[in-house]
Amino acid sequence: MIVGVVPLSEEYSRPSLPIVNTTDEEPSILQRVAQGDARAVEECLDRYSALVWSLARKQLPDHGLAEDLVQDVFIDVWKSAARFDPKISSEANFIGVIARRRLIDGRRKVGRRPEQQAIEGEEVSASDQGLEAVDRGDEARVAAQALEQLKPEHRKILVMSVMHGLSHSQIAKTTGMPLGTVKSHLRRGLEKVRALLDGPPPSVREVSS
Amino acid sequence: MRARSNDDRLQELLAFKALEGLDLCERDELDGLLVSAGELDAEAFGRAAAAVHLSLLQDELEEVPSGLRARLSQDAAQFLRDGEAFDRTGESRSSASPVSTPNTPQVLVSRPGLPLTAYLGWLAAAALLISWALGGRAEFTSVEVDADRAALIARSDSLLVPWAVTDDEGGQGARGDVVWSDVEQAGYMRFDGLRANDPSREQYQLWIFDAERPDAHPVDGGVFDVEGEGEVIVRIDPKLGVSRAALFAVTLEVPGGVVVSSRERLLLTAEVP
Repeated sequence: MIVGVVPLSEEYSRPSLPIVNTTDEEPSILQRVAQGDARAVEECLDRYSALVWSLARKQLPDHGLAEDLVQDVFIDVWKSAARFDPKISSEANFIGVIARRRLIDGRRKVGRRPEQQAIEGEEVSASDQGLEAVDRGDEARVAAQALEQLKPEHRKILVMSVMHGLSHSQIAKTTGMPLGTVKSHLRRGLEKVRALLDGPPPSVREVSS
Repeated sequence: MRARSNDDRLQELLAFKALEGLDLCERDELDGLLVSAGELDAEAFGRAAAAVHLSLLQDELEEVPSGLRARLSQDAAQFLRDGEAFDRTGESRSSASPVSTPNTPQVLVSRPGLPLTAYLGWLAAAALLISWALGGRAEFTSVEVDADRAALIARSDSLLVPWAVTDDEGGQGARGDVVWSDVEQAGYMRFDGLRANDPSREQYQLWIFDAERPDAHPVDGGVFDVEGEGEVIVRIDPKLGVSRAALFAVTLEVPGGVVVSSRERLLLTAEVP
């Protein structure tokens, strides 16, 4: 089984930073949600519900649990909309963070899925096509670039962790790597992505404001 | 050398939190490290993990089931209408019934106890109880609380002190901590193992001892309930200003709390060093 990454096209190899997906003059969907704009709420669901649903379904085989999770995610989104800052993240990423929090909580609550089920026979790649068609946020493009730059073994276990929700110990068992190595690779891989997203080196970063 | 080691561990915990979550001990450790780390972007790894996750989604997203899509719209409409929390049936939760899991703590807001004007006594207490019952209680999502609490811990003016149990049996086995900022006049209590109370019989009440007030007159930090098991986070909402918090104490009182505690059921204390 190979967990690989499709090489990215040049089109996505030089993402612009910092990541801002809206302008000062035009409030984003989430900013309008925070202002109580009913149309913005529906626009948000139209644009991102399939994204959240797909994230949930990838990790939660139980259809009912996945539906519950998506409802919880969007309730969190409505409540948290006022905290959205387009200077810090895209809307897709903001919602993705909320969804992942709920996924992690859900996994810990119901137990992790069988170790092999998530990755057996499935090739996972960073997608370089259709990124315009599906709004995943500019960060996803940067992350795809970062994944491409990782060593194959680092990339592989990062995909296992992030995409399939495998625990560190499950990854160690699956790959035969020592647990400490898995943790080290995961951290370095995520630091690489963070470094590309944030710019400064992956150490404690003082908040500029 | 020591500081660098702490920073390294801090970064590791933040990364692992973003990837698979932390257990209770790791959360404690992270909180401790955040205290001494100064202001930092504690959500950066979370954003990075989300970016990776979104980049790995295949192009063909799964279509949202029509029933779910309809419920999402109903939830949203109710949010706009009420501005309150929802359960999965789309019905407003007028009284809190927070979900408690190992990683999704109950999130509550302490409510002011009885008014300090003692002569109003139970009459005022009854009025307050009615008001609370009608108005419900504000709820915050675990995501918001997690971020707010982490930000508070990271502030240079905040303090983080662990709970210590007393001899009272009611607090035995409980642990957790208090994060508080005199500057922000805000804080959170975190409990694990504090037993659920029956609000019709008794309620927990927080007292904040201010170094600039007599010990006999601590600030009422509000009453709160614990429902079910698991970690509970209670947002502190004191009625009076606290100049310099010196000690936090949790007592068990009659429903609605008291103006002056007899301190007969003093369960937990957190003393500021």
